[in-house]
Amino acid sequence: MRNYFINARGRHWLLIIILLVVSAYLPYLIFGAYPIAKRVNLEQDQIKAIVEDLDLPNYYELYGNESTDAEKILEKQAFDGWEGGKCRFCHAVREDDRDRMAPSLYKILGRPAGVSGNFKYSNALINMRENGLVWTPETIDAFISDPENFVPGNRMRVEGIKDPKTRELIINYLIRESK
Amino acid sequence: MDNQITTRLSSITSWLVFIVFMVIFINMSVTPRVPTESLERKVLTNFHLVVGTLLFVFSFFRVYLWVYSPPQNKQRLLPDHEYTQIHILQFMLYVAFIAQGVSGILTAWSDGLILFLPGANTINHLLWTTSGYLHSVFGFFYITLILFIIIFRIYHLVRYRVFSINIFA
Repeated sequence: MRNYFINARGRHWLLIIILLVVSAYLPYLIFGAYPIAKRVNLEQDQIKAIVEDLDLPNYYELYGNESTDAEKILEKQAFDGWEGGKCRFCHAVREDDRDRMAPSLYKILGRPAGVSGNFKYSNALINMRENGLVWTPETIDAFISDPENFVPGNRMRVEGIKDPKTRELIINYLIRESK
Repeated sequence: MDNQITTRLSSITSWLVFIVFMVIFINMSVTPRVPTESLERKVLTNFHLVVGTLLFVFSFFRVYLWVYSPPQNKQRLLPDHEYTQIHILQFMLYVAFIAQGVSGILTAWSDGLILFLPGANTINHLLWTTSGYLHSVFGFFYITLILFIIIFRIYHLVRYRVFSINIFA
């Protein structure tokens, strides 16, 4: 066995090493995944300091919960489904949901961008936070319609959701489920 | 172990790995399309864990047989360097499956899906993130290996008239 591998030419092993290195990069390139999670990104008092001067309304009270049962099903499908936004694939929503590979969307409305724990944000999103980006129904709508255009260089490597109705259903779902 | 028995066992194990791999590949293609909180999704996830464990065990046994009795180029249809090249790719494929198994078990364990000790909290997001990333890395690694094995197999067919339908054998 030893001779078998020793006799193999250098280029045979070079090919294996190249394939392994390329494979190590692909999850980041394709999914925006990162091999390390940070436990805490910003402390609660730091988050409060960012939004306290903005005088933001309480979006959860403002929009209320006016969906019918049939609409609730459509909203869930838009958020979860393969044909919808596929958001659930990477995002947790409720307080007791386990963190997944993307930041939790729990209490997303009125929150500054790039502050959730357990996630290593791209510099692009951190820059947007420093420039005052706060998640509201309008900014979420703009972001999910074309993530790369709204925050160039961010790690949410998904094609934008072009259908305004689907985006509206997703935002309604977030208003209902993430409070 | 008799050399003939080892060869027979190696062949059977390669086919078993091939079949189990095809099953888990279909499972992986179907699962993301099923709603996350449905019963069907839970069944598919558990099925993935069981079949993935089988793939890990068969691959481990195949590597053991490989180390115990390395393949010999007896048929002389392929030049030695071509023979070694394709076999190193195949050997690394089994190693990738083993690495995939280890990272997969760690991912499932840190996600609270495997409870070795009833009641013990095994959820660890930091470990889940890293082992999940590695699970993805080894997944891409075996896909690229399979692609290269297929390319080399086609090349061997065209140039040397040597072909095997089981790309893992």
